[in-house]
Amino acid sequence: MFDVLVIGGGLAGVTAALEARACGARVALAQRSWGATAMSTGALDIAFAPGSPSEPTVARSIEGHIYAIAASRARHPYAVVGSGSALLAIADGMKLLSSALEPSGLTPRPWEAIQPNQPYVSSLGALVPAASALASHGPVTGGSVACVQLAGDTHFDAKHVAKAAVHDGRTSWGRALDIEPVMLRFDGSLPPIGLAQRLDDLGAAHELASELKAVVAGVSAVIMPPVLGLARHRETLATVQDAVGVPVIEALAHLPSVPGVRLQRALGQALRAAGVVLVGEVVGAETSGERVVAVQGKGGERLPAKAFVLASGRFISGGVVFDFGCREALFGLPTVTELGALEKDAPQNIVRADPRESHPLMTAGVQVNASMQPIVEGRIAFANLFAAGMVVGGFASRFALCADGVALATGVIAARGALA
Amino acid sequence: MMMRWFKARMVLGTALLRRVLLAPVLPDHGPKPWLGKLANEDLAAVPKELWSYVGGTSRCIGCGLCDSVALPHEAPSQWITREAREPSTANLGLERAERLEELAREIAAICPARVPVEDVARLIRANAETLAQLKR
Amino acid sequence: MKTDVLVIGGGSNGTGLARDLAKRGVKVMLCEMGDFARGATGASSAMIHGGPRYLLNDVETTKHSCVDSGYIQKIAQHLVFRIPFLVPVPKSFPYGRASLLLHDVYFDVYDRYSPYKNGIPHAKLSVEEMLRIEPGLVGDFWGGVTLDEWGIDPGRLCVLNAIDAVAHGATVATYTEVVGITRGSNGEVTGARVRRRGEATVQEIEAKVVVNCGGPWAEKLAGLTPDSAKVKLRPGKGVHLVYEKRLTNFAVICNAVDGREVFVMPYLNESWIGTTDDDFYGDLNDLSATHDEVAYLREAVEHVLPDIKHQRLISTRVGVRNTMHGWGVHEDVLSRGYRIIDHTAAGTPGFYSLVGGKLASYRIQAEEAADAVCVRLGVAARCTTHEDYLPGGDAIPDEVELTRAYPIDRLTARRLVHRHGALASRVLDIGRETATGYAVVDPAEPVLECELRYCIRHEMVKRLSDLTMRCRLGVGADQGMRGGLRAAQVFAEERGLDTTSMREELMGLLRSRWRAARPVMTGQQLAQAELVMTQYTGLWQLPTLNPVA
Repeated sequence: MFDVLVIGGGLAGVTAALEARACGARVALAQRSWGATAMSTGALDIAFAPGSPSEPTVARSIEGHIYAIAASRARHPYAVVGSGSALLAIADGMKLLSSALEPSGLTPRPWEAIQPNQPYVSSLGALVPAASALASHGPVTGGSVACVQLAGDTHFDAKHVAKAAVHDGRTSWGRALDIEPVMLRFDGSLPPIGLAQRLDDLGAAHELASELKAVVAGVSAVIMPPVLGLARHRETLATVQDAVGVPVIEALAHLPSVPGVRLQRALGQALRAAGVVLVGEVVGAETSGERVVAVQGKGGERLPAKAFVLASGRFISGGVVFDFGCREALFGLPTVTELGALEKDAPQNIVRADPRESHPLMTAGVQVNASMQPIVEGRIAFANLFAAGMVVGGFASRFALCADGVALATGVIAARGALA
Repeated sequence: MMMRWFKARMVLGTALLRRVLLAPVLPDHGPKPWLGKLANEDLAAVPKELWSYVGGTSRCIGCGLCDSVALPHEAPSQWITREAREPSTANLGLERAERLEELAREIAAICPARVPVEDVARLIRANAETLAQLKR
Repeated sequence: MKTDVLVIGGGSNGTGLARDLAKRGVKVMLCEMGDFARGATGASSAMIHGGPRYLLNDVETTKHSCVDSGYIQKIAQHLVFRIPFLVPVPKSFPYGRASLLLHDVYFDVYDRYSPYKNGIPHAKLSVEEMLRIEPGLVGDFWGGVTLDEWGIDPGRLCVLNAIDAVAHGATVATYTEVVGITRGSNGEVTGARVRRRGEATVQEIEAKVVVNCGGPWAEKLAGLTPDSAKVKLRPGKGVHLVYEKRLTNFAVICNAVDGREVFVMPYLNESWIGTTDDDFYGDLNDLSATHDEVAYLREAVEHVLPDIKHQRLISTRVGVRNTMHGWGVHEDVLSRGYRIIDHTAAGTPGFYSLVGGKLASYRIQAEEAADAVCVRLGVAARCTTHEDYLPGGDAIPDEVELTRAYPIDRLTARRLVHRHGALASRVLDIGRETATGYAVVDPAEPVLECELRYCIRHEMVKRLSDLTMRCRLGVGADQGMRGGLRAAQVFAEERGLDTTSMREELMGLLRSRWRAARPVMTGQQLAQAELVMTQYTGLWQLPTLNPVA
């Protein structure tokens, strides 16, 4: 019998499991497969509410963004739990995450709520705002920066990345950046994850480092594609860093994402290290009146627990399913969007014609109260069920760049609720 | 408009009459010539059982995470979306089908889209097999 | 700008006509308000079929289509592929056992025209024979009959016609809208006023003849002249649904709830269900499939192929047919015939409209229109478009040889040969220019970087999204997610675009794919859409990041 059984092994689920362990509970975690966390760019998005040309928000503090989001979007988790509670929970979650990622060398950069978001270079060719990021990434602050292109690499085009970053620095961030593309002879004609695997070999890492050293003399920082090692990322990064002698920054990734794979694997290690019992996929739930009694494993085994945290993600991860009607996948809970209850509806009515617009359907998830308990028709669904992360409805990360902040905050709050 | 319609119906009517009256003496070509011609263009029949599993093979959303269980130069994420798309080219993907089968268990443990990779391999094999039969 | 003939419209009629006239030595200019094949042609069933349906009402249409189908198979052999059809005859048909006989006889008649299109006689199949080919069929059948049709990439067909027209001296301007027709003192056409997309200034084009090949927009274009001989169309909206895979090699004809025939058919590496045909009087520039249309098509096919309901829909193709007007008739009965309207009688000499018609007979339609134009201009030259190959149509290179000469695999070679025919090696030679020339940009197809560069340089690509029509960029399940970024980078390099323009192009591509996929964004396709959004979040955020003053 577990005190808490967490469903979902992404950032929200792991945060909930680690928080529950930290409180001394017996914790199990059910993971079906990887989900959206493994597709992470490497950034930690906590809050960024886009402004308008007349009202810029780049210089606003993260705290200010959280308050702004909570004030303007009533169903956003930050609004549901309250901005102040959200901020505290995020800070606690970040502490858990930092120590959990320590052994993997991914410990995120420190962040402060009273500081604004920082500009991070993305492989897509943009300078995007983020509160923090995994260790190998870093904001571009100034100085003379080299942006490195590996020969034959089609996933990271240094020319475009450098040009776009300088452009965004000038137009969006008010900074004159000096970023120059640099060609390396080092063969990069592999898929990104393959390239990272190849650089796990320290011989290859040394070869890359010495090539790099020869061409980046006199720069104050180096931007690299996010491929510096997978299983041995820490060593590979250190090797390159030591050889070059200036900060080596990995750009934020697009798919397939090496930082995402690193993060997902590191979270798995952290769970094992913390003594969380891993139980595989769950396929059904056993409920009795107002309580969830147990969940059912894929092999038919019955997994009872005192409380459950549902952190199964949204559409990408399969926690929420839409087929002209929308429901949460495991318990069949109804879903809401940021506009309210989601009726059986055609996608045309809830997805807008232009992908850049705000799509109600993309904010679908379960409705919760301030303790993260799913609410159905105004009542708590099950007294011992809590939700965390993207399975919670009412927000879409892309309009507030908040997915990681929500995962941390709701993970911590759900775990505390489960143990209360 | 009416004239055209009338002419069309006349043509069809005559053909029907002709068929009914001349049925005993008209040669019946049978389906052989038509079926025989399919081989020239790699147009094999649908493999048995295909419909029972083919749906899952389309689940991939291109996240690329499965590349992490393969060798550095391999990209199963690309094979899954590419090799099984057409029955007529299945024979070109047999090697990849074999490799996908080897990777299937590991991919199943991580794939967010729950692509049944063994079914992708099975689909390639089944299509390649009916294609080979057709060519024989 | 001065020309003899101005052709309006870049669909199959317009590009076919421009090619025909250019090859006869006539000075011709073509204006298209968007990219090629953006209207009826691009959203068609992509078949140069004989139209067996029309046998019921209009034998001439069938014959016409079959003859021209034969020509097209010859001049664009690389672009054409056979689609074998199964027509199951269910026991529920009203004539009992005779239903099968009736079908058999019907296609006997159709067989008379099939030699024109290189077809062989149809076959009558027993239930067993039918199920051996397509074991997924469910229902009580008397048996079935077969027929052969040919598929073609309609977008590429238009592009090739346009390229050939230019090669023979024509001027082709895409993203150029005709906003007015100019007339002389006697009402005769003297040219047109055109405006390039995104520009405010209007240009005058002098022309002796103007031909309206506007497809569903023909009515609106005819309205630019003040006369009363307005072209009357009965626009019918047609929707196809696109599945992720080519599920089978066989098209199957099914009956929808209202008794209409609906088919599921293979198209390259996809399967389609089509089509709806409903009167449409809405905004031609803002088309999308409705939930009812999606459900209607799915139900029709699930009736005979029930397992298709588990297949993933990835996209829709929506267009409006330019059917000629005929009141009070059921949509299907309306003629797919065509008419070349000379507006002289209505007071605008020199203005012609080519309306109606089918993709299958685009060439003969263009030929007849060109004949009419040539009579007016006093040009005696004859049509040669049925004899001369379209670019790349003269030979089919051996795919194995291509894999030896270039670092590509056979599947890639096959797809390239399909699209470019004899020009495949010219496409592949471009790969030598850069270290990443043979890298796969869009794995769903696959599309190589060198093919993108080739199309951008030689196939009149104005916008990044035009590449969808050229080489199927972004039409796979991921709707441009994986290929979009790299393609935009290549496009920016080739065109020397700055960061802002490059992003706009990328948005344009993703937006057009998003619009097509939106009606079927359920299940995995919704997860896909969520991932597309997540991937490009940073990029989408930027415009609202706002400029620092």
